Order: sequence, then structure tokens, then C-alpha cells
Amino acid sequence: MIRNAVLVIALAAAGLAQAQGWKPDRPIEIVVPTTPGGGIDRTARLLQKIIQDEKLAPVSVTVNNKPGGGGAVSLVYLNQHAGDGHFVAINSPNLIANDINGRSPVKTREVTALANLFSEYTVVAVRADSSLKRGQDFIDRLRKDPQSLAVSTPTTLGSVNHMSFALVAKAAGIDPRKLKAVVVGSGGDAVTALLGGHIDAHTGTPSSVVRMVQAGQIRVIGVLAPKRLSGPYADTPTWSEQGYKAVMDTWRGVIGPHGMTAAQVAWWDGVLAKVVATPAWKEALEQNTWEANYLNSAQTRKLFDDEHAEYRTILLDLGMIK
Amino acid sequence: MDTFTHILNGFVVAMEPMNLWYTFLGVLMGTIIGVLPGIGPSAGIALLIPITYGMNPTSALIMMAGIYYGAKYGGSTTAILIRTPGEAASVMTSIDGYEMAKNGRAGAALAVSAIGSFIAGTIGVIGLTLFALPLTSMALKFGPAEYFTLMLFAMTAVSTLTGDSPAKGVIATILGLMIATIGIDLQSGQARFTMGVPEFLDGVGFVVVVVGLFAMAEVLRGLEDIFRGSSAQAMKITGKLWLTKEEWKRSIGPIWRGGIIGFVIGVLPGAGGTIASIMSYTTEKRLSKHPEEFGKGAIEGVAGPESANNSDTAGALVPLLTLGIPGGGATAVLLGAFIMYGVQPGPLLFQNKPDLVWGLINSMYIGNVMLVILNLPLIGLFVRLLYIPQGILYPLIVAISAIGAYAINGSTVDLWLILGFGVIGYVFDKTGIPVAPLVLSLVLGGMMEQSFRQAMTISSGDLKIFYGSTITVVLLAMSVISVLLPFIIPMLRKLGSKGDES
Repeated sequence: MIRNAVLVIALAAAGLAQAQGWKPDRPIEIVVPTTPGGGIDRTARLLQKIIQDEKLAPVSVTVNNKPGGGGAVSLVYLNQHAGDGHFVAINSPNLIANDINGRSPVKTREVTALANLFSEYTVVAVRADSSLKRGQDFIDRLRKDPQSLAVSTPTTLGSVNHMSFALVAKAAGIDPRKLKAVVVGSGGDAVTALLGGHIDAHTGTPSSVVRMVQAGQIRVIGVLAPKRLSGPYADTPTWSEQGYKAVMDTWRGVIGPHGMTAAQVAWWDGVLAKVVATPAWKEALEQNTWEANYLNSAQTRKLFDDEHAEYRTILLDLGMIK
Repeated sequence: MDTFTHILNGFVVAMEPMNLWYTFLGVLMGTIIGVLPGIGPSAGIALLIPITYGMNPTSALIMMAGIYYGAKYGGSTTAILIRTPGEAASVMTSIDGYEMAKNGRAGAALAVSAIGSFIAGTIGVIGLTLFALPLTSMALKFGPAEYFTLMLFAMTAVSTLTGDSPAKGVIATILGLMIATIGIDLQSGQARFTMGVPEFLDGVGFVVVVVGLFAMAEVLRGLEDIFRGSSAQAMKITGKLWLTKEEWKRSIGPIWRGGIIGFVIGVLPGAGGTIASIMSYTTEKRLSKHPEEFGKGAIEGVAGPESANNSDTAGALVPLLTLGIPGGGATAVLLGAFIMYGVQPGPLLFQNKPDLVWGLINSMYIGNVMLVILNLPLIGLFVRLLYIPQGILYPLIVAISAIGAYAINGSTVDLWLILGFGVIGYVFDKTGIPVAPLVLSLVLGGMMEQSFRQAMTISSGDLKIFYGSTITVVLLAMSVISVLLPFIIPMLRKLGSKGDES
């Protein structure tokens, strides 16, 4: 407790020191690439609330929804404010995936990486009465016949969930192109299909199945995380533990427009580090089954570069890009 | 016995003055949101979430649910008066509702919407109270193959929506299917027919198409009248604002049937209020003794769909509360709100938080009563819109449509789209091509294609999956019957009349 407090003060002091170079003098705008209501929108509104309640910024904070183009519209809008530290956006792996498949007019390198807020490590889930008890059963079935399991991968081909499925198979030496990935519109649709016995397994976020896991109707046979998750998944083994090295997550990054100054980035580093240390933030993580994984601006830039390389490899394996 | 006690306790919770107040606030906001096209319940609830931080979860959820079902009441108002559906699910209402208004029966159309919504809304909540758990297992039986056959059955309704010329119906249907393919194809991850416009990657919005085809086309028609100098015939109101005895008699069946159809369709995740109202409309037209009146101001065509899209909301809460699965946009936002309050919907919710669940469900009975009391007096106010001179009314329709379309994505591309679809709607009108089949195939096309391809992936390309379960077989049989029905009924009538003679 005391150590946390000391840490907070230290971070706050660091933030203050760095903020001397730049601080916002107009309202801050958090751009959201989706319509109100989804996970990204909720993250943005949570961020807005905490920055305001904790008085972390000397100005007010607004949230602006700019949906369309699978996120492209919001990125173009963000970069119309190049070099302006008052504009930030919440983003997800779509940022990089759309860059790789050529669908986005804005490259990953053309935005400023500010932070990663949390991660949702992909889980592989089956119905509680399934004969697939452990990750090994899943692999054995796929090794015998990659087409033998119909696995739901929301929400599009080449999504993080689809790449997760491919990654697990690849770790076991199975050709990802032979897999039977059933693309469904949402995690909810996938859970319905799984419970109804229409599909054999589901890849998705921990939160997409958490309620059914707690009710004992769905079992998670492996998590694509570097170490075990907290909360309801504390007893669920990772894929790496089971001998198949596969890590993949839906991260939630904060980005700024192209050409932000070092002083602006430093100010945001200070503020966002304070946000993730607040009790309100930690409570929200727990409620949403989001895994704490804060990264500062430099670490996030590295994350983006690493993910860019990794997604490229998997999408090549899947034959989705050339 | 235990459940019964919980239900009664739920009424105690719902009747707390604080919760009554939030119910009222919710349904009031819902009505307002419903009246404006574009601003739907999803956005309404989402924007409210940060404000309700720190509120008692039960009260907050009661208020948010109020917005959800309240919006369905408001959606019919502009559909009937100015042919602009306030909600996607009100699109069928704008066909016969607006014709009724032109015949001077706007008051009756609004009244039957409110009463139908009330009765069907209540049917829905009763269904939710009694059958939530058994229906959950029914919803789970619907996999991709079942959804495809359900959509196929719904598609057969095209024939009843087509006018005298099947060829013209086919033109409209195919155009609708083509529009439905625009955007990123989920199954392949590829962009289709986006013509390099990034805004098209997410597809063309249903509300945008509908506002263009209906409201903007109506304005263009009005302009033509004005340029021809025949604009004298402003809409008038004949008779009382209430239903006549005859109208009431014709409405009561559609209201009941619509209520049941809406609830059942609502339970299926993904199907939603628009499909429910289309199914109700076609059912009524098939059952009607005077199907030729549909499209020309048949009150059944308002009573049925309006009822169906209201009981749908109660149905949609079944998978949300019992499984934690949202069936559509608005319920997905509600799920987010539940989670934010630390309430996990799912099988355990009814055991762990009976007060919250039953307080929420029972508040919907009260909310529906509030809505009908709120909406009936408004009819007198709303019909005055029709007295507005056309020179003011048409710009007003354009303004409301444009604001509504812009509010969805904040994109100017959508403004061009409503204009474009307005021209298409106008051309359709001039050439006698019906609009309804386009709307139907646009709603169903996307889901039909995706579920077909999901099923084919699962079965490794084997068509057997489509007659592999009782549900698919029944739905396929119903589809065949539905196509053949127009030929069979006259034959039966012939046989019947011959029998009488002999």
C-alpha cells in the first residue's frame, strides 16, 4: 500500500517535471474509431472520466466517435491534427492489421504511439461437456485432421482471434491454411453457436466467455498469454505451459497524431501512468476481465513494431497476403 | 414457488419511488430518441453510461432499458407523418402508416401504433417473465444452418411485397441484395464494391438507405407537385383522432400476432426488430381478406409491425439476461452497462441477483403503461405537423433526415447517400418498382449470405447441413409452402365454391 503510494507520488513528480515542457491549453479530444457502446468506446469514456475526476489535466476532456472504414476514418481525422497534443485516439490491433492488408490510408508508423492500457489475451474455449479436456486434446484432433474441428473466429478473417487459432496450430506444426475457421459476427454469436453445439471450439477474448465459464457451461482449454491471467482464469493453463508457445492479445493502445513533440509525448506518458494507477482504473479492469498491461510510449512503439512483424508472418502463413 | 416470490419482490423493487422516477426518465428519453431518425437507442444508452456512474445499478439499468423499449414507441411517429422511419424497425410502418395519413387517418395510425406497442410490449414482458429460461435453449438450437433457412423463409415474403409485376419486384430485390454486399466481407476479409471509398468498408447503413428511399423520395415527389402547380392538396385529417370501431376490429388480430412474432424473433440473437416487423407485415397481408389494400393504407400494416417491433425488445432481453449474449447493437451496449455495474448477466444472474433481474423485468410492465399514457396525448400535438404548409414541411423533412443520417457516423458521405437513394426512390416511384422488396433483401441479404457460408464452412461444403435438423426441415417446408401458397389458395377456394354449389 505504502509502496504503491510512493510509486504514485514518484510517478506524479516525474510527470510534473516532464510536463513543464508542454501542457494542454485547450480541451483534450479522445477519438474513438467505433460507434458509442463497444469496448473501445467504453475504454475512452473511462479514460475521460478518470482524467477529469482525478484532475490529471488542466483542461476538460471530450470523447469524439469517428466510426467508419474499419477505423480508417478516425485515423485520417487524427492526422488532420498533426503535431497537436490535444488529440489522441484509442486503438486496437486493427490499426496494424489494416495497415498490413493495405486497407488503411494511415500506416502504423505515421501515428505517435503513446501507451498500451491493457490486453485481452485470446482464449480457446469449448463447451463444458466437450471431449476436449486440455489443450493437448485440441492439438491431437487437429494433427489427425486439421478439418475435424470447426472453430469460431470473430469477427473477420485475419482478425486477432483468427491469427490466434493459426498461431496455436503453427506451434504444433499444423498448416494454418488447412484449419476450419468459422467467421462469426461477434463474440456473442460465437458463444451461442458453441453452447448450441454448432461449432467445436471458440477463440476470443476472456470477457466473451467469462460469464459462461463462471456458470460452468464453458471451459477454457488454453490462454495465449505469457503467464497465467488473474481473476476467474487464475487456474487456466497457458498454451506455453502446455508446450505450445503461442501468445496473442487484443491490446488497447493510445495513439496521437503524426509529429507530436517529445514534450507532448512526455506529458501523456505522465498522465496515462497516473491513470492506470488509480483504484477506479483497477476496478474497471477487474470488472471487464481486462488484463493490466500498461506500456509507456517507447514500449508501445516497440509493441507496434513487433506486432507488425508478427501479424505479417501469420497472415503470410494463412495465405491472406503476399 | 421460490421464483414466484422473487417475481413479487421484483414488483416491490420496481415500485420504489426512485425506480418509478428512473423508469419514467428512461421511457421519456427513449420516446424522444425514437422520434429522431439516426439517433438510436444504442447511442442513447452509451452516452448515458458515464453519467450514471455511481448510481444504484438497478435504477440505472431500469432507466437504460426504458430508453431501449421506449425508442420503439417514438419510431413510428415520423414514419407515419412524414414517411421518415425514426428507427430501422419502423420502416414497414412508413409504408401503410404514411398512406393512412394521406387518407386523413394519421390520428388513427398513431393511436394504433401506441396501443399496439403497449399490448405487444406487455405480451413480450409476460413472455420474458414466464418463458425466459425454456426459450434460451430454443435460441441455442439456432446455428448457421438454421439461421440461413429462417432468412430463406423470410425472403419468400418478397412475393407478397411485390406489386403486380414480378419482374419489377425482382429488380428491387436484386438491387437490395447487391447493396447488402458492399463492405468488408467477413468470411474472406476482402473489401467488396467499396469503389475506394473508405466509408463504404463498413457497408452502407440500413437507416441511410431507408431514409433516402422513403423520406427524400417523398420530398422529390412533393417538389414535382409544386413545380407542376398542383400542390394545393395538403394533407387533411378526417374523422376523429381515435380509432373507429371498424379500424379497431381490424387491428386487434394483427396486434396479438405481431406481439407473438416479435417476441419469438427477438429471442433469436441477431434477427432483431426489423425482421420481426417485416414478418408481421407479410403475415398480415397473407391472412388478410383484402390484401390489395396493403400499401394503400391498411391499418393492419401499421398495427402488426409496430406491435412486433415492440415485443421484440422483451424477446431480445432473454438471451441477454439468461446467457449474457447480446442479440443486437442496443443489447450489446446494455451488456456493457451491466458489466460496468459489476453485474454479470448469464445463468447465475437469476440466482445471484433476483431483485435486480425481476425489478428490471417488472419495471417494463410499468414502463409500458407510462409510455402509452405519454404517447396518446402527444398524438394531438404530432398530427399538427400535417397542417404545416408544404413549403416549410419539405425543408423540415430534409433537415430531419440529414441530421438523422449524419448523426449515425458523423460522415458527410451518408448525406450524399440519402440524396442518391432519394433519387432512386423517386425513379422507382415513377416506374412503378416497389421499394419494399429492396428493403427486405437489404435487411436479410447480409445475414443470409454470412450464415450460408458459415454453415458451408462447418459442413466442409456438404449441403446436407441444411436438412440435417428438425428446425431446418420445418423452415424449408414453410418456405416452399409460402412460395406455393398464392397458387394453392385460389385452387382451394375454387374447390370450396364448387363444393357449395353441389
